[in-house]
Amino acid sequence: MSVQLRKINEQVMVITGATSGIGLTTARMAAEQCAKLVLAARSAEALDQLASELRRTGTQVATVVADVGKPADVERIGQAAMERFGRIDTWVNNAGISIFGRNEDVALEDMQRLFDTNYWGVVHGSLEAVKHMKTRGGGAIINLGSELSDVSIPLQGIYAASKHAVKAFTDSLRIELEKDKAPIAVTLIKPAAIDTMFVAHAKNYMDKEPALPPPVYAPELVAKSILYAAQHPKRDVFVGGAAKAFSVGNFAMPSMVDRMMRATMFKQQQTDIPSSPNRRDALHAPNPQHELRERQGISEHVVETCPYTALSLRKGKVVGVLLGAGALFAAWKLAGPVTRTSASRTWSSNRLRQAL
Amino acid sequence: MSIKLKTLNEQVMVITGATSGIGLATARMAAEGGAHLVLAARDGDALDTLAHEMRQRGVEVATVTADVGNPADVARISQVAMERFGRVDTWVNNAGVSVYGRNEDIALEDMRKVMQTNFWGVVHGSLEAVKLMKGRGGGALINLGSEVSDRAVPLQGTYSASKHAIKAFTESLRMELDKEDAGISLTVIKPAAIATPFPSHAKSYMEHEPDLPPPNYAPELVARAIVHAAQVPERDLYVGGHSKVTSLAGYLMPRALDRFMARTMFSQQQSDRPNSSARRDSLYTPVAEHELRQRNNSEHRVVERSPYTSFEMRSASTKTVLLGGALLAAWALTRRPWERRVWPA
Repeated sequence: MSVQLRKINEQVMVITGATSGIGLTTARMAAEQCAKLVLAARSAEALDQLASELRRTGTQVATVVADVGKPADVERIGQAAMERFGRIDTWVNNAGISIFGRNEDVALEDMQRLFDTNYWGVVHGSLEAVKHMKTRGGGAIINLGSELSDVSIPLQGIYAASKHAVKAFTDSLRIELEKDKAPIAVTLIKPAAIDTMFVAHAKNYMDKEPALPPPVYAPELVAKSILYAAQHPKRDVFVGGAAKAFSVGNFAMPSMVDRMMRATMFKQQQTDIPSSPNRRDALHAPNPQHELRERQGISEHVVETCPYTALSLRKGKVVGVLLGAGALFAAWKLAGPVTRTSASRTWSSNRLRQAL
Repeated sequence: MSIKLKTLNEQVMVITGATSGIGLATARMAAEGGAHLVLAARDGDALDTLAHEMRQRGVEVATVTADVGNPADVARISQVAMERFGRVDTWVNNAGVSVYGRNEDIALEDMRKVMQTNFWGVVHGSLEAVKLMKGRGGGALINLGSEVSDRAVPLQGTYSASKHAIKAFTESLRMELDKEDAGISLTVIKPAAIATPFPSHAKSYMEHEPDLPPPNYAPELVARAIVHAAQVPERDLYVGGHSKVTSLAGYLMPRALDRFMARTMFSQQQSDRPNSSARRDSLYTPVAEHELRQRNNSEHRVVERSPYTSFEMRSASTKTVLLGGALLAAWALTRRPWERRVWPA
């Protein structure tokens, strides 16, 4: 790809869902690396608090109270960014939410609200970003898919559907922009289960409190992948080796994965704690108690490093080094004393000639 | 799977989008096979004409004028089915529509309408069907995905997204129902491009008339797959080998397929004919002159057979024998000629 992206410290970056979990971690990490930020979320208070935290360390921040499910709100994000900074280099469509429960039990209006945020939020954000980037030197659009963009699971049917749809829209948009030679990189991030406020924010139709199936990874791993994709064009990134393994398993043997999930996913997505009748979720409105937390911290073990993702982000370099090393090794072998290997080499070249 | 499905001639079958294309081909094929039918579509006149055609041949038919994007309409479909026949054995969520054009150009409300019909229509229909089948001996729920359930294409972004979502929803629902041993078989059908009036129903934002990229398969192939899945539990069926190949390539070499699609999909999804200003699509309301046609009148050659799909519908034991035979043949043919003769002459 010929798309040129700036260094983080030269970027204006829009992040939706910036006051919690992956969005919050990404915002703080980008601020540390001196990006200018346009942060969007539904909770004005949480946004103000976050902005003053970031301003104390000298970060330039604009905030926009916005519900990404509303196109007019998303348009305001674009406007605010252009008024304050004059351009947008990276737009991260991160805002998202889930519902736990059997598809039969979930109210249609809740399903639709989820789709408004997760799917239509990404559509609104992506199209707004394209509008601003297309004529102004391009940039990066980074959409948060999930490991559930590739594989569906029980008890989060609509969430999986929304993340599948995000992948399709993103893939389709990417080809259209490439066809136009628009200098815009379009990336889909597919995180495995991440220790964020995801579970606490989700609406729950089950008797027990929801849970994330292990392995659960650290939100910093996703933030790192997002910042990498903001600077280097990447088609898609799995965060957490489990996400990739899940995807490959489902592609190669779907019926087996069905059976495995029937055996594990019902138990693993529920805790032993009964769901409280006073439980407040953040599906229709933000819950102030849950804001400004990167992690929920309930998982016993959080994976803080991920060799698979680190490797896949640098695949080009790693492959280059391996190929180079292999070529050197081969050259060294071939340049060695001929007598010792000549017999076997003649034999194999004869075989080769025969086969051809 | 322990799911038992009735043979076609003992079934009550609901089909949405029954007055055109795949739905129409399926309705006619099921009628020939002796099923009792509950046909749903938005166009009351077309439904009446179709029902009349079928009743003349002795088929028992109920019709429901319904927009599947509207949950109340879908609830009426099941009411009518229960009132008339007392049960539903197979529910086919077929109704679907598309918009052609670059994602940037399409009005949001048009995107939403596609999602409402294609995805939410399947959600409404599936949950309605589960309600009717659960505790009543089960049945088959058949949802129309697409080749683009696995791999999105340019110029039909929202359509691709809706078909991806259908697959995810159906798979999630299947796992939940299997967990309860509900006795309901859920199938995702993934047709390749099918020679139906799909392009003329679709809204277009392009300068040329929309078109289907080749190869275009016959709608009867999809109908056969649906009728098969109504009687034999299947997880998913690709109709047309092209659909399976796209799915494999999309997964194994996504970047290469991106580039290939950028080269081919823009011209192949448009015909040479400019978009007429009098063009009427059926995104929001049905168009009478497009109704009751199984096939489109494009000049593309239509592929009438799909060996891959026939193979998919075989039983596990037949598949094993066929695959074993193919492997044996491959082994025999790749041996060097002078060693190939196994038996002395």
